[in-house]
Amino acid sequence: MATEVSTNVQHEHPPRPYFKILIILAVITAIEVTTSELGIPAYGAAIIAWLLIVMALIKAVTIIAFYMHIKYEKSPLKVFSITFVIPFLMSFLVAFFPLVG
Amino acid sequence: MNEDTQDHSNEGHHDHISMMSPFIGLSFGLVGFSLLSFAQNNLVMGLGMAALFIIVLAVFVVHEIRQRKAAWDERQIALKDQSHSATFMGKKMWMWIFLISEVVFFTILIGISFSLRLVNDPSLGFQDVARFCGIPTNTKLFNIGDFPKGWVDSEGKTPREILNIWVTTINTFILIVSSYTMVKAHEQAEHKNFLGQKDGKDLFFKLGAGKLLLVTAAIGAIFLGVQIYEYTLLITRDHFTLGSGLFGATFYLQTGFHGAHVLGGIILLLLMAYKTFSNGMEDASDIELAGLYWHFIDVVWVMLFTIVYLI
Repeated sequence: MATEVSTNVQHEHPPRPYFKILIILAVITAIEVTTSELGIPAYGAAIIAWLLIVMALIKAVTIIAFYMHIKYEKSPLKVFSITFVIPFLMSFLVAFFPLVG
Repeated sequence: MNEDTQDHSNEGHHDHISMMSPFIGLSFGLVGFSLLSFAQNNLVMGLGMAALFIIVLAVFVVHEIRQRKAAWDERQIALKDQSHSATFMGKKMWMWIFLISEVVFFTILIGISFSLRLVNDPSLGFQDVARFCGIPTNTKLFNIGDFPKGWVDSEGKTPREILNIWVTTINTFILIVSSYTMVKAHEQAEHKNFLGQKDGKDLFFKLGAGKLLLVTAAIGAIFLGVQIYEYTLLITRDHFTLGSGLFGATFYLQTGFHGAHVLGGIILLLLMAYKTFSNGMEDASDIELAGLYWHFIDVVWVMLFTIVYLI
């Protein structure tokens, strides 16, 4: 029967660190909120804003890599660039068009 | 889920002209006009456009159901001839293409709101950001001009004075946990443990994929509940609405669209759970696709949380 044909999904793989990722995401979120609430002395609003955006990007990439299993795809970087990086960068340019008009 | 991948492989298959694109375009237009009308306190126009949207939606749904039902039987025949692997890879590719469109949608939505904010917020000027990046700011390219308003609502309050960060922080944790239960559901589905094992080695094995899907949907519903609570407080107590300046408009547009996606995700998860409990699951592929969508919602929220609430 058709369903018996082996699929490209890896059924047998070593346990993946899902719980660790959950903890990492929670910790980064806590750091983000603390940074945002207390601020960092000697750093201006713009630098803190950039720090927060970088932390958010790290969280986003972590979720994409581990929870969306891109890290375990055959060619992770290719899938990641085609589905996220390229569309993101192209739309980003459109979104920031008002700034450079 | 999407079965369109087998379209061209079957000679006997008739290509149906999909009305999806024009309907979606029209719907977005109507929703946009409706929101704009509400924002300008034009209730009649807003309600009219909303009603028109519902009619268009109904026509669309009936049309699609009819068309899909006709196509369904043909596809069932075609499906039997194909290996399951090819079907799944096709389905997954379509999910990725859908997610690409979602990346574009949310990047533009959040990006435009953010760029408007950079232009408008005196405390986080684009000049600062540009200087931080090493871009010379005295050129005409980055001369932003004199916008009349700062990044405040129509009563002159800043985001920090209006938004409750602590409620949203809890909501962020809630959504992250839902992503975890989702990925665990997928893991159990990979082990073919759909209905749970009483003597399972841990909680997740005891629950099984179906119940974990329900748990994920429930956590998603809690997230939505908290968001509705937040909206209610903002509207009734703080009188912060869609019409409260650029800030109000972009805030409700971003979080509202995200909330709508969460609602869609919950419905998808419930459908998957139903399919699991009615023994309709043969492998983990459908749950994996639902998971991709659910995690994507989480990714969007991670960015939204930082850009809307924290900065």
